[in-house]
Amino acid sequence: MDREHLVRQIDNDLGAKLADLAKRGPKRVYLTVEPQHSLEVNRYLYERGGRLATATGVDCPDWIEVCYHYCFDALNVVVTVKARAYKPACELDAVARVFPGAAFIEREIQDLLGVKFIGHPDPRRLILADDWPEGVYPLRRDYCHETHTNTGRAISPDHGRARVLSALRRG
Amino acid sequence: MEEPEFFQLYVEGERVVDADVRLSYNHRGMEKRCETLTYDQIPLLLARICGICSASHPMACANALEDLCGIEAPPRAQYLRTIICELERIHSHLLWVGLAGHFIGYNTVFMWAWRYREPVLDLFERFTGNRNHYENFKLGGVRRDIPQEAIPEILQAVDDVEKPTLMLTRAVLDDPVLGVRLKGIGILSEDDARRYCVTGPTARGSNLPIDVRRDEPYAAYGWVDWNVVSQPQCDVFAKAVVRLLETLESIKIIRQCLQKMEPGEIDNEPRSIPEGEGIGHAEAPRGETFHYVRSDGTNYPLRYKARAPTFVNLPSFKASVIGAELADAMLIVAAMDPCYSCTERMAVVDRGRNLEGLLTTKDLLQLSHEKTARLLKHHGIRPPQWES
Amino acid sequence: MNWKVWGLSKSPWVYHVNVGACNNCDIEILDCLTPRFDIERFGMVLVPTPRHADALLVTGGVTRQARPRLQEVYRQAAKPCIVLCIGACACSMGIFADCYHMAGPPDKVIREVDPNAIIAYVPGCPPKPEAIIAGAVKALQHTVKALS
Repeated sequence: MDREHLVRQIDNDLGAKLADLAKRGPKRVYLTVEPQHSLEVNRYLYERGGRLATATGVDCPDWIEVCYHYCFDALNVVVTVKARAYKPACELDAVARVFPGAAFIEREIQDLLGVKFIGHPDPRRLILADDWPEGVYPLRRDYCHETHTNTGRAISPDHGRARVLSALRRG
Repeated sequence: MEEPEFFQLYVEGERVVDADVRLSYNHRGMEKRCETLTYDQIPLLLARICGICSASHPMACANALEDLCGIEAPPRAQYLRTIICELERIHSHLLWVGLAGHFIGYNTVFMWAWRYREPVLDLFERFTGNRNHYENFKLGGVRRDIPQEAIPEILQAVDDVEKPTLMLTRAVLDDPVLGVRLKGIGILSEDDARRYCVTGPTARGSNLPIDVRRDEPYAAYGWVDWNVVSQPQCDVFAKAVVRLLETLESIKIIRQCLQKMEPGEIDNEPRSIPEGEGIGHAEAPRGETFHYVRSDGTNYPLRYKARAPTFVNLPSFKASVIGAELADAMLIVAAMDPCYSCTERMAVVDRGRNLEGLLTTKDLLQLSHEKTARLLKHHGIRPPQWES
Repeated sequence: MNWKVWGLSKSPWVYHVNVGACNNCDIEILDCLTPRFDIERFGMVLVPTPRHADALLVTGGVTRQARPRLQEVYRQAAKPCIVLCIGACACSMGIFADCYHMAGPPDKVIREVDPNAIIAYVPGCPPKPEAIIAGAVKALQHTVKALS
């Protein structure tokens, strides 16, 4: 089987369940799914030899997008499943139910973005400190850096540039 | 080495029946910080995810950003990237061999292996400015070139590393005690390796011959001849063999790169970043580093994800340590070559007697050394000449 | 000169603690043990417990999770004890200063427990083994002089 064949199979078998299938060049395929189909699509890719490299949570205005990245090493293609966890509940079925390789990364996304993975075999805190307050998700856009960090300083994208400019103005 | 990780081992008698790990001690919050850095600054931060993968993370970053922009670096830059990545693999694997020797009780191996790393680190300092954290990779190419006159020096340093590596490889393969000590322990079956999605020598030593350099060739790996090294035995010995033989492959790759590299540009100097997303991965000494970037067309990423290989390899510890003797626990952790030596602190809970005691590195080392001594005695083997 | 200060000047025992480092400084510290740098010719020995330590080698900017641990390690170390902050992160949190999971640089965290702690800094990313040894020797000499 080559990667074109894999993509056609995905389209045939899962087409109805995908909100979108996008190809960005020959080696990158992005599937978008509604939350109720996330587990099935993930299971499909895993059972066809996909290796879950990792998952990325992205805070979008109305949902948290959890992108599961599957490497098909023998075919030189990475297929990403973008599952939407709609706010305010932000729930998805835990892929860790299917294979243990997903367990850690789902715990991390739970800590950093507040997505609840239903049926996760071990939903304990993984990556944040014991004294990190509950309900504060640092990777969300509305996370307030000043209140929760040691420096008490706002960090904005042009933070470095503003500092240098103000130093230059001071002479 | 003292990396802040907390392992909890549940034992009944001398056997481990369950294992758990607490992370967080090393979590700094880099992904969030990346959202407030420019694309030029990001590789400098990411190099510091891990000291020994300090070329691999910027390499994956360059791959991800080039995937996003739909560009490739010039050929000379690709060769330079390959040379740096392979030199890193050599010194990282030698470091691992040294640590593994230390855990078994062969301290001479530790001293030797670390001594033979030094010429490689000197090379890095000479050509990138630093023994580690080379600051060389960027979107579109590399920051510094290697002058053509320097190539004989690099070739000489590579030759100097080859002899001790060959010697260490033969020593490991032939040494009867290492065979007895390392074979059959810490078995991570091929099935478990797949279920835990492990990568790197942890996978290749468990009969899963995956390697990003061959599976999705980047830099110059597609332009030179080399072999993916894998072993079917799934134990700690197999992983040691994979690392040693890979070091020899790295030497092969570097020699070919130096030969084939032509003068030319080292940086495409891309001027703008489109909206979209990119994925890049690279084969670090420990396994696959995987990066994902989402861009909104500005100079700062919307989201940057960087995943180190140890994050996927670490959970597999549960599968490989259960059923093992406590004296082997350190070696089994070491076989994963975690991005840190997570043996600073292990808590051991004896389920049978409901006792909990904190064992330190010293205790676990002692247990490991005692086992080596017992095996030597039991098999009537003298310690190797170099250890006496 | 009391026996503890004598020990510091003749054969300092050092305990290495990593509170959130990328591991590079840790590797360079271990490198000091190898034949090329050979820290043992200064009588320096790496010990496995802080209770026996004359000096603490701290690497990394302190993460939130590691903060209580660092303070505990400092309390356990017999005084006088020199804290050597190895590397840019240990000196000032370095490039991680604005990351959300940092508790502060080691000197601030330790001064919460002991405002009079003796702290020395070896900058670098990572500092070379020569720099670490030079820094350690200087700090020890200064301290011995000041205490005797």
